[in-house]
Amino acid sequence: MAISGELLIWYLGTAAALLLIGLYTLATKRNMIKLVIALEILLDAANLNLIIFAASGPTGVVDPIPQALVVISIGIGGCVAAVALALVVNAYRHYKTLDVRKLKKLRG
Amino acid sequence: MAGLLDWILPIALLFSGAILTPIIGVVSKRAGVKKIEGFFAALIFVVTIWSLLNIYGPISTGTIGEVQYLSFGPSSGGAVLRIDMLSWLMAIIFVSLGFLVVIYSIIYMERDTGLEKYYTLILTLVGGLIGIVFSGDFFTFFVFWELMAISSYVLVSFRKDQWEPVEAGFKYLIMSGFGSILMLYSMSFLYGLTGTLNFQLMGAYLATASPNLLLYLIIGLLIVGFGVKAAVVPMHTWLPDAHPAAPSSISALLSGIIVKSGVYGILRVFLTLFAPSVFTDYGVTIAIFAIITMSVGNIMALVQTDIKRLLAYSTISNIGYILLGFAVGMTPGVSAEVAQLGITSGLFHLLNHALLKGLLFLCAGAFLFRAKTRDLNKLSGIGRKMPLTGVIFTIGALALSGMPPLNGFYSKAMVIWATISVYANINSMIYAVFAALAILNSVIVVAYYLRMIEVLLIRKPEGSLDGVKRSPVVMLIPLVLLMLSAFVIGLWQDPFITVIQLATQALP
Repeated sequence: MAISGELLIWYLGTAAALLLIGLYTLATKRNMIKLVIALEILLDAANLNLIIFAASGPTGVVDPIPQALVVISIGIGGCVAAVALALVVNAYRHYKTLDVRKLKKLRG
Repeated sequence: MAGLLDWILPIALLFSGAILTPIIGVVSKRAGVKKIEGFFAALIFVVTIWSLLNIYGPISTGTIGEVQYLSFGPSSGGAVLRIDMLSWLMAIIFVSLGFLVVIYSIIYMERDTGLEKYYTLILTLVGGLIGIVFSGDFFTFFVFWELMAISSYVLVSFRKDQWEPVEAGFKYLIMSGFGSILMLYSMSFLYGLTGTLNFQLMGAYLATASPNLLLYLIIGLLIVGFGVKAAVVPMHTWLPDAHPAAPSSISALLSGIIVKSGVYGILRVFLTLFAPSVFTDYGVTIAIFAIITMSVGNIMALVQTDIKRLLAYSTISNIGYILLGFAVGMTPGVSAEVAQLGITSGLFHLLNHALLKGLLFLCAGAFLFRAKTRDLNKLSGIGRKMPLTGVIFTIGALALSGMPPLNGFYSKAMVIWATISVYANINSMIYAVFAALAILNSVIVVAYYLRMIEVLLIRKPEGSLDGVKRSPVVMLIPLVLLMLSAFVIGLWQDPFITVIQLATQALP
């Protein structure tokens, strides 16, 4: 079902709020798992935006191509989270902590 | 006339190779034969190079290979592969360097386990990169972009039993993942504005738009999104950690081709979507980013004592040169010749930097393979123990620092010449300042490369290098080939410049 103009702004606002929550978490949290969660929240913001725009086009019909992109993007998000958590497990084995600020061996 | 199969063959070959490599790994392990996966991956790369040369004929005469594989609903354009000369040029660089790195890895990685995964990931990485340059819409672009990104995260932290690759890989994943999400977010707004994901249709729509705050916000988000991958300062901090931590063969791929995907994204997406005549401000913004990237990379490189870290900072500075060339092409108001000169110089430097930095990282890997240390002070005088590798390293370092008969000099001079041409063309004083800063930076580059040559070759070797032997012959093959390319491109530039100019003309 197509979304009308008044509702659109609420959905976009929700996506922007998700983006800000993700940015805040990425900037302030120390726990590595929380950083991975922040990435997933950020990805959700982008996905929600795409879905909303696909459903509110001028034709009044839901556009399937962005929806296909979102389905794949959710899958990709799962892959990134899996790789990230695998790295977290390995980091925990080396450092015995999940605090990202204690991983300060690199100077970069 | 090239058919549908010819266009998709390079991508299809690499991904079928990626699927077959683990099977071959299992079979060869049962049979007790070693190193078969490496030779199989090299074979796949050779066939891919053949398939790319196969489509050079139609592409060089201006044919654009369009393969529409998804088209339903009201979204005009659908999902397409769009292969033009620029895609071809980038693809041949990616595949050639990938091939040389695989040959090198056969010996370099022999002490590691899980090699079938390693070669599978290299194949998906290069396949993803080729998908990025072949894509004509954002759907395809994003899928291949993430495919490339995920493979590179795993490759950076391939040696997961050490602390350094794990930490660097996590940092790289968080930063690069953040960049690609910003890219997706800004693209969702572009889709909302234009109603299509196809780059060409989006560009046609945006050419009639009037620039407003939202569009400039989108441009900013895209610069950050691509800039993370291209290691543009201040989004560069993952790169100097990831390069030393990864195996040297992967460092060569990271510096040679993965950061180039971000640069390609900036070039393709910006010039297709945002015509410089309509959006007048981003050209100079990218030029400022380029100058900052160049200067920070060079200044940080001066103080490094880790050979691979130094080379990583040198990569950052070279990205600055490439972006400066591109920024000339994005400057509004310049004549078509100057814009073309700018993009040609950027692409020429991209080609040279991919080959030379690949060469330098593979040489550094050869030192690391024999001496087992990356510390420049402990490596001092290693050129006397490994004379051929030392000489090849010297030639690569001289070429990248801009020694005249070699290729690096010509592309760097071309970038600076293009920047001065903007000053001559539209009398913009700021570009004269950029050119002066770029020349100043070239002097700093000479300083740290000469220091490196002095430490590695001229000093007497220390006791810690007693057992060091010459490089294995198989490892020397890619090094010699890359060194010869430095001479060939330096002395016979005309055919290369012609191909690059064809690629430049493919852009609007």
